[in-house]
Amino acid sequence: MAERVRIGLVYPELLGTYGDRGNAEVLVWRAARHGLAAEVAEVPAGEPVPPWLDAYVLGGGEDAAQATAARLLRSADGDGLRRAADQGRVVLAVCGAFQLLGKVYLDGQGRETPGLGLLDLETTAGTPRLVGEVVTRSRDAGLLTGFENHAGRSFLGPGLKPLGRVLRGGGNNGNDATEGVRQGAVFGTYLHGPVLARNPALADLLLRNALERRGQQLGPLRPVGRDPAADLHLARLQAVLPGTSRHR
Amino acid sequence: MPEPSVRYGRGWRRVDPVVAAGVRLAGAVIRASRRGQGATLPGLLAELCAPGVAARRAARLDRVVLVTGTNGKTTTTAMLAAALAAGGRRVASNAAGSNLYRGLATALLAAGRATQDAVLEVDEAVLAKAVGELRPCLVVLLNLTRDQLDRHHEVGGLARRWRQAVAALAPGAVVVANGGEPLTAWVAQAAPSAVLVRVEGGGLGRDHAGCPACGSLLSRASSQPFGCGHCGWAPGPASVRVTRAGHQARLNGPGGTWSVRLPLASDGSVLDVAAAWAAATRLGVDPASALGTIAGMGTVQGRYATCSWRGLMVRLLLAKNPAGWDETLSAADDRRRAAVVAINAGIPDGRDTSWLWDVDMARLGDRPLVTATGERAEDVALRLEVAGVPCRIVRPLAAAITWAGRRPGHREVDVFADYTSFRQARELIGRRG
Repeated sequence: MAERVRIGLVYPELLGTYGDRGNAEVLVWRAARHGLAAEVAEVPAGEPVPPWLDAYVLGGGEDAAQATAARLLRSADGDGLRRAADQGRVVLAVCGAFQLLGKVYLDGQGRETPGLGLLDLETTAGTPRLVGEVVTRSRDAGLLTGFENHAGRSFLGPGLKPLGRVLRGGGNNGNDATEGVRQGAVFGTYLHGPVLARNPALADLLLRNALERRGQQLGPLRPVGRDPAADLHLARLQAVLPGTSRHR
Repeated sequence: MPEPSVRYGRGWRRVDPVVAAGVRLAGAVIRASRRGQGATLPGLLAELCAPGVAARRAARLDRVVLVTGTNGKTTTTAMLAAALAAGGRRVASNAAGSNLYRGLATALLAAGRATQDAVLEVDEAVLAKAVGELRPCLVVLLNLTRDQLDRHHEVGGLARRWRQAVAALAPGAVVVANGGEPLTAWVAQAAPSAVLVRVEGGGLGRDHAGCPACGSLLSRASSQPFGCGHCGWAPGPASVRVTRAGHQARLNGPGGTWSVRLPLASDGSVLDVAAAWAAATRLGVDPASALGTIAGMGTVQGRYATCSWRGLMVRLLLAKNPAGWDETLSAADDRRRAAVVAINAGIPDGRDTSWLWDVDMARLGDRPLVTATGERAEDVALRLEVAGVPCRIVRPLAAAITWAGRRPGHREVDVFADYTSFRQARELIGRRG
């Protein structure tokens, strides 16, 4: 039997305000449907991040928690995450964590929180807060749906590609129609929901990336007939995009 | 210890009694026409016609008391109002739970001329305005955890606004706060004077990993007492300490120790009872009789109520955020009952359902049948599936309840509902099948 897929849930007590721990649970469940054994490894704040996990999931936090998380991840404790990303291991950073993978976060009072610098992006707090349903079109995982709730306006550096193009909602900054980022196996997004619960194709893409690094292929989905994640994906698209057919 | 007191000033204007009469009339009309409880709209209109009228009505009372927090507001408000009333006071309250400023205004203006005290539950985001306008002599702060984040955005941000609000209280006013929770204990430190209530043995909980003062990780080696190793912040000492074993609780207060049997065997229930009791005694009610009144109340506003409906015994459970779910799953743990999870995620509920993933739904795994319903049944169904709980989507609510209770020998059904679903369920079950 193949080695288990290990999914790191990084600092859930600091970076988990919006149910983002669900992303780790969905990956385990999704892996099982592809015939793979998987498990969640929680990494509590204050402990070193192990560099050998297959995927890392980080969520949103409030300003103070996010600053604390950034400080911990920039210290020797966070070294494991940087090494893992350099080795092409999968990283999914949502909302606050997406911001702190960048170079810098400027809050409402003009205070600078340096980020990890894994991604060439910068974030500045702005008004109004971007809150509501989002739909984007991504190249790699089709239509993506989620719920955004952020004051930060993120701008990608020239070499970076967004995860999706905004069809509905604010996205990275409410301005340039970009949402999230993808750089190799590092994914960033503002979408909650959690994002992998509402977008099974994205969950599968992350698993495929994690397996490819180990020289394995993602098997077919079983059972084929019923997929509550696909049902949810469709239900949200129908609710949010006007004129979407109720019939399948 | 002197009772909390606040000097009131602003005078009653000549038009105000007319506005108050209008509020009473409008409420009666709305109720008579069965269009609602009339607990919200009349106050909204009154404030539009005569801005500040609610504040002027409040100024004519002896005392205004506010109760806020993420969970337990309605119950604690009812308990405190009953304790004061049993002590001989004439008390007005927004018992229906209409807790935005318009709801407070309705309750104040509908109050009869002889009313002495008002005990009002206040939405977390409305506390600052209510303190500024109504000049309470006592404020109860129950807890602060994630809820409706599409509206409140950040729990920490709410705590900072609360702190400003209690710092603006009149000098004679008192805050009764949950001393077992970092954020509420931190807010209370800005008050002119504070009574901290601590339920022993509770953990720090989801939204309290960071120090409220500096954001560093709080020491968790022992959660009692918690404190910050970085900046040295610590909560004040608790003057009411509470221990619980099942339904039995012991309250250790400044004047002695009391035992009480709780309506529900849960940490939330004991906090509501202890906070209402601490507030009532601080307001001059005899401790023993206050506790007698509070413990004798049971549950309020149809919560945990069991009704017979179409041959089923249906229990209605309001569960609208992760902390509320924890509480409800503990208080209503019963594997014989089928379960319906009803989530609409309407505007009063919070439109983002991500919080469902912070709830330990696996605890529903041993129920005979589980159905998901409501606008967001697909979100619920996936959450349950990933938690390993088999479930089926059934709409509408009535069908979901019937389906869950169809197995012979399992005719009891728990309905876990967010706020708008709970209202629908109450209406449905109240109408009888």
